[in-house]
Amino acid sequence: MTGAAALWVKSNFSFLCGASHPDELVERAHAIGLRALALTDRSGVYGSVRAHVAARPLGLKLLHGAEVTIARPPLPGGFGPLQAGAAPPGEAEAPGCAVLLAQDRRGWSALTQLLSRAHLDCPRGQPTIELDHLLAAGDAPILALTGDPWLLGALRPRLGDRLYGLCARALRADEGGRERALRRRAAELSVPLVGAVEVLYHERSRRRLQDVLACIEAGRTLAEAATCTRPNAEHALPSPAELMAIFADDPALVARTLEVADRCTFTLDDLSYRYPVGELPDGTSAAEHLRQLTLAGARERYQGRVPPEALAQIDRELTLIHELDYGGYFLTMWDIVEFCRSSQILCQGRGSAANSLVCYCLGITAIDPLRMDLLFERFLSRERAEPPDIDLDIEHERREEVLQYVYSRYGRRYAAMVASVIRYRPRSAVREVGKVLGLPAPILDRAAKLQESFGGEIDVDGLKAAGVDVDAPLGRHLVDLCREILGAPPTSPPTPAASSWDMTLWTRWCRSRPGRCRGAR
Amino acid sequence: MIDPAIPRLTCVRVPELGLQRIERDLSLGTETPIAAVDRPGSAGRLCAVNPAAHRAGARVGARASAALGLCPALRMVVLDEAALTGDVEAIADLLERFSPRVEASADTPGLFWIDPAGMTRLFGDLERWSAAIERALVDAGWRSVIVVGFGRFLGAAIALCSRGVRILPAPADERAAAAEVPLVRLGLPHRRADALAAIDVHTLGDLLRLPAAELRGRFGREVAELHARASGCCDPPLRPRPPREVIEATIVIDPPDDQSERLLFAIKAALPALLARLQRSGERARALTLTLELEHEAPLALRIEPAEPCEDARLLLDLIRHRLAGLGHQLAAPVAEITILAEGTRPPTPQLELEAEAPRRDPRAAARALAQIRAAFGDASVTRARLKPAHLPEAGFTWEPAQELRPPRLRPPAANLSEGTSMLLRRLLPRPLPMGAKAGGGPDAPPRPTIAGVEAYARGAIDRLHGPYRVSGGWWNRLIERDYYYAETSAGDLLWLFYDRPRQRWFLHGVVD
Repeated sequence: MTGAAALWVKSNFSFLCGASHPDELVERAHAIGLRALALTDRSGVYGSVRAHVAARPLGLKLLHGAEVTIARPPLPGGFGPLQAGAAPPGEAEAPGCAVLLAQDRRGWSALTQLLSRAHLDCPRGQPTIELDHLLAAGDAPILALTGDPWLLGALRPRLGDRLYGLCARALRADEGGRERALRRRAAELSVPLVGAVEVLYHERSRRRLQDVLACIEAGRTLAEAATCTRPNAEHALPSPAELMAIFADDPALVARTLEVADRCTFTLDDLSYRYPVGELPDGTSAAEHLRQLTLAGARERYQGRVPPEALAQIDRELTLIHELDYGGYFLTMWDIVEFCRSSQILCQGRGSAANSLVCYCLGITAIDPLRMDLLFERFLSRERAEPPDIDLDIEHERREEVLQYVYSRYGRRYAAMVASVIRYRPRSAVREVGKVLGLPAPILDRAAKLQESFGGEIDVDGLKAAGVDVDAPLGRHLVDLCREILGAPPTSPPTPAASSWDMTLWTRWCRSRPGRCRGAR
Repeated sequence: MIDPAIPRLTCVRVPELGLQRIERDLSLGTETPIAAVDRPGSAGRLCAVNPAAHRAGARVGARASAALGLCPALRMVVLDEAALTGDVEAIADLLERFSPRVEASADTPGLFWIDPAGMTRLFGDLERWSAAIERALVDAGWRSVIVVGFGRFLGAAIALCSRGVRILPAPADERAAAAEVPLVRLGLPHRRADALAAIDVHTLGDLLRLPAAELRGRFGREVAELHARASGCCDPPLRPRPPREVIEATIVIDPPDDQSERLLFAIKAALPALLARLQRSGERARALTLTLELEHEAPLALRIEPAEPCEDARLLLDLIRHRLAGLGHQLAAPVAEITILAEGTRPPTPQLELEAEAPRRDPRAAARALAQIRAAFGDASVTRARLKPAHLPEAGFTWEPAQELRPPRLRPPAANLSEGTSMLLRRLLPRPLPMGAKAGGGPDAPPRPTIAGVEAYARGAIDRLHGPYRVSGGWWNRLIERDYYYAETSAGDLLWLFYDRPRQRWFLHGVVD
């Protein structure tokens, strides 16, 4: 035995479920000697980038995946007679749960497409993958780990040796019976088992925060939490030795975690910028079409007499754009600006795009960078290795028209708004945590209002001024838990970042979900 | 997006009401095949079957003789229309707690419509309101389906094919959900359904896509009527039950008195007239509420509930006598006035029981005895355990007043229980008992438990421990961390015990037998 991997780890991007930041999990995994860690947030991959950034300098192998809910297919015959020996109605309809891990870039693509589809097809907050969709993606290099016996049977023919039985232990009263059923089914199907702990926090002390998050999700106080919290604190990231102790009766389950980790080679470094090639007239290339449009625009901008230095600058910019393969992006922006212009919608490029003569000639910006002596490299340079960012201000009352045009022009699967995840700030932290702790509403209201809106720290003096006894146990819990919850994402729906949007093959590389913009479908 | 401006209508369906009543009465567990039949004898037809009977091959509509041939163990009970009527009344009464406008279907027992208008102000939102209704029905012992929709017929159709609570955000969602309902579930005769299936019309949505004009001529009256009802063109408005007449009598005690016998005689004089008023409306007394106005003191309310609705004044007086005697000297002042409020219900007329089906125990006698105990010692004197979700075993149940005798429902045995293995019962002690311990568990492990201190529950030495599973929590108040084990003693006793980690002590929490 040379180590172990944690294969079922949820960060606080499993909204109101995980209680640790992705980087905390990564650092702890490295400190306790885990060989690999799989970040498997609930129906999403929101935390992957943070975990990736944290894992890279530490040299920890990071597996990317998600915990997904899989709907049971309807019983044969729909509403027809019950099948002999069928499971009881409630049990027969209970969905299954599986951990999907991307083995390589194709697997990541399939995983994010499955997640996107689940979010697009299901009611908000209840993403569920249809079994048929998962089976249809069965050729993609995805590993599936599940503790549901029925899912083992459903997935085994399609996934073959990429399916594992997930034997999860947390010292719960009911897990013995479930594990026996899983082992029996796995033996019948010759599916290997792998051991895991459902990790919800990086260390045991975060159990308190996890309880609070569970109560926030259920809308209850701790006193009336009942079974909405976990029954014990056995969901911390286990060290290899602890994993061995948990599975002392079957050490092969721990050894197999490394086999799973070795089969997953995907890292986020494998992803790179690839702009989709749009439809171009007469079969011209993006670079050629962009050159034609830019030169035509230049003639218009300079009333038919384009200065030689402008031509030289255009040539220089187009060469770099072509070299970095950003032609498609400029064409898309030009297309949108053209639509705005033809629809008489006010729009104006701003920011560093004003440093580009190509943008000026395409009508995206209104300032001649040559005349103003602006530096193009501030916008785009070979050394910076960053994609360009063209900010476009659009008349706010008609912004929706432009969005709908983009959706109709490029298709709903290929266009999406960039969304941001909001985070707990001192005010919201005090309000939510205090409510769960059962503090009186007037005190809580006062305490929250005495916190800074966007501050980074809990103002203990503000709590005292509101009448919270911070030396009493309840007050101490409030201060400690508010400090821990700061920065955690509070709830599942990411909010659209109102002023920025971009397009690409979203569903292939990242998870997308339907928006709620008024007037939009 | 839910539009609050559109008036809503909620459909509550208690599926297979008659069968649910029979299951409750027989309390044979879910594994016994049970069917409700429309009349006694082999020519009767099955009206409803439970899942066990369905698995055994019994089908609704089959002859009783044919069903018995397929499933000899089938328990068939004749549906009692009068009992069904009583149940419908009781459920409608219960639903009136959640809305003043409740209508019970005249054709389908177990189907109700409620107007939720204004109720969200009391309950918060429709989700909580409908969840409260479902909980109340479960507490009363009924399974139900609740569809919060917009139309009378479409809501009922969706309820046929749904489970639990379903809230439809908009009329379009209701139409979409109803479109999926198979026609055979809507009571369409089989020959009509077959004729429609021949042209690939299987669901309500398929039917609605057909032009209405030709339906009566081509497929018959039933199909045309179904189409019209599903189209919403003949959805009648809600016809709520009329408010009940308050049947009440007031007795002035002059001079005020605190002697229970004299009070009883005063009540005795007024009671027959009250019961006669109930009888005139075809009802019997379900409960009496006695409000005793005390001289210079706060009034005292007493509730008397007989075991079953009755019109026997003597029986009711007997219960009142028990209650007044139970008060003893608790009356803080003489009684100046007594108000008697009678609650009535339509009487159930239980079927004649076959000799072979007569249970060994007489539940009615037990109910009468419990009613007398309640009358003598108060409502809180008769309680039953109710499970509630909690991690700690002692927090997993609570005691609540029991109004009727309802035998417990045993959970079906686990599917993986091998044949010949019997189920074990775990009995909780009222309080965990501290146990002895001895060293030897290992450097980091807890000491090993002994039966010292719990000899009344166990014999011999503890040989084996199986576990642990861990329960921890309460950190915000009082930290609890328990490792639970099953222990086997050398004498064969099975114990359920835990090691309390903060207190570092072993406790016996239950025994297994």
